[in-house]
Amino acid sequence: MFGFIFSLIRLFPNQISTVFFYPTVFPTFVIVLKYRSILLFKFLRNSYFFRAIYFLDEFGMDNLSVFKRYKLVFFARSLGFNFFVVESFTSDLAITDTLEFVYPGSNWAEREVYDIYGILFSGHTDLRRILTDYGFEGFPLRKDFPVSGYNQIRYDESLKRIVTEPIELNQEYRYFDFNNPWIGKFL
Amino acid sequence: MMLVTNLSLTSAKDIKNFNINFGPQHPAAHGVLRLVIELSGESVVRAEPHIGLLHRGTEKLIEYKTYIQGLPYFDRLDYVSIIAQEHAYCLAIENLVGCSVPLRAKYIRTIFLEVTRVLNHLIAVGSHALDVGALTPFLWVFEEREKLMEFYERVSGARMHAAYFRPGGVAQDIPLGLLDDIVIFCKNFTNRLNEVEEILTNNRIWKNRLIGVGIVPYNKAYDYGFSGPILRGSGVAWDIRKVSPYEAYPSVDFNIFVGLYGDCYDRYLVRLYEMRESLSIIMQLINELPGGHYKLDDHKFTAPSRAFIKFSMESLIHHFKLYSEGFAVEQGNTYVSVEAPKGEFGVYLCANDTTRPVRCRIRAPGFFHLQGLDFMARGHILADLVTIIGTQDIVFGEVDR
Repeated sequence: MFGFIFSLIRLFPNQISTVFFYPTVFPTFVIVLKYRSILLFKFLRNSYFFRAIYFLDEFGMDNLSVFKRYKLVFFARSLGFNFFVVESFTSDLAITDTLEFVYPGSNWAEREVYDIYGILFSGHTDLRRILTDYGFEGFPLRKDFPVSGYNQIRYDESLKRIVTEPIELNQEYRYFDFNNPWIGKFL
Repeated sequence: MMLVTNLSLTSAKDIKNFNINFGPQHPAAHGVLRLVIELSGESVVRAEPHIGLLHRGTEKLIEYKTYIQGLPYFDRLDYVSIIAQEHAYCLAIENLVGCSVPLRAKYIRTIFLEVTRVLNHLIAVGSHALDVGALTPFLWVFEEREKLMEFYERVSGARMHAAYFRPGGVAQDIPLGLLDDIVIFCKNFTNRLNEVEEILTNNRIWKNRLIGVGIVPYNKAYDYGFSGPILRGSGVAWDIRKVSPYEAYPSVDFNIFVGLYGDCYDRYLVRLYEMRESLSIIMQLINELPGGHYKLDDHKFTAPSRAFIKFSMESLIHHFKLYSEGFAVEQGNTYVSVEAPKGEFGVYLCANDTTRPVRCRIRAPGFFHLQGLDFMARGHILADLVTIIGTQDIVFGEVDR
């Protein structure tokens, strides 16, 4: 069962930092990378042992407290019910390789990651914003982006067009941060 | 014929492909899809979807809400298959906390998941037929949909945005007489499906418009992350209810249907037969519905009943604490995927010992289906593009999130 994971570590000794295995309904392999290269993903997809051909998802996470603040998470399934999670870390300054040519489905997923986190992908054919508005500024899912945003948009009757102006809130956004004594206490 | 010979006489330089905007207000765009289509004559050279017109920042908002407050956002994602999404979120929280749900709650959940599947496939087939040009099934289908929404209303108080599933069970028990009415509905509904099939399945216009249109080979479906009826229409017997059964699915007997050719007609048939299968699942579950609790009896995690609040101090405290600060979840990540009517709907939750998730990633099936619109529509004519959008069963709430 673990033979092919050992062979993967032997093939990419500099790249893989940890591999976790969770024996759930879908045997899940969490592969944590030091850096991301296309070769490993090509291997995952095309190797006879892995056959992780079913692309599922690719997305980012933000953690302000470390330098390589963004975690890129990639999901794929193999035909033999295995579930692969590949995690890699990147910072504001780094440029990551795109997976578009290995998994075509990651095209929009990476556009979304770029849109909401501002992570750049090298070799991506179509790196434009996808979810936010045309002409939107900033990267909304970063932890240092306020939830109410910076700009508000309205239709101006006299100008006969939509105008963007700094946000005006009648009430400040209220964020109640409680100390909860119940952590892990139940069940 | 005349036109063709004229075109061939002119030099290739003069001919330029035509770019048109499709939507966002076009009725066949199923909401707010803006397509930039490059047309050569009437055939599609390139179809580029512009999405995000319904983007509400759900993922960001959930990071600022407690676990219970985040739940209603999931109703608003895919607003035609409502309960299936909150189910994925509940499962993710239960997975992180590590609790199991009472058996009765599992059965109630599964009944309403299948009601939701019928609800979604009805509008999928109905509006697909409307896009192609058959108005009548659409009207019949909405009649039936209204009955199903009534079941939603009776069980949760809301026609659409039910917020019925809660972490640890369901919000309230099934009211008296509801199951009888669901059984009556199921008995009559087979005939309504027969009527829809009578008007569509062997209709030669319907067949001409659907067969051979928007073919998805199974390897492309894998590459683009397709799931649900689209993957099954391409001949892959992949259903998360089967491969990793959740809730009460292990104890029910049902079939999954696969297509042969992966065209629009196959996907239409897959949807229709899934509805029939859903009816049989609902009937099986109603027959075997066990008694017991409808949600976990741990009031550090689920709210106590309203009646208890009136005379029990402890319950009042629990109620107040749960709805003001919520429950905290131990550090951890989880990914839970369920077979929503549209495909694999996944929720990735990251918790850090607080009452709010650090990150909630929503894997919407429609997002990845819409990405494949370009290769599905290429080479077909403009009218077929409408068929393909219809067959993908796109709802913009979930695509744009």
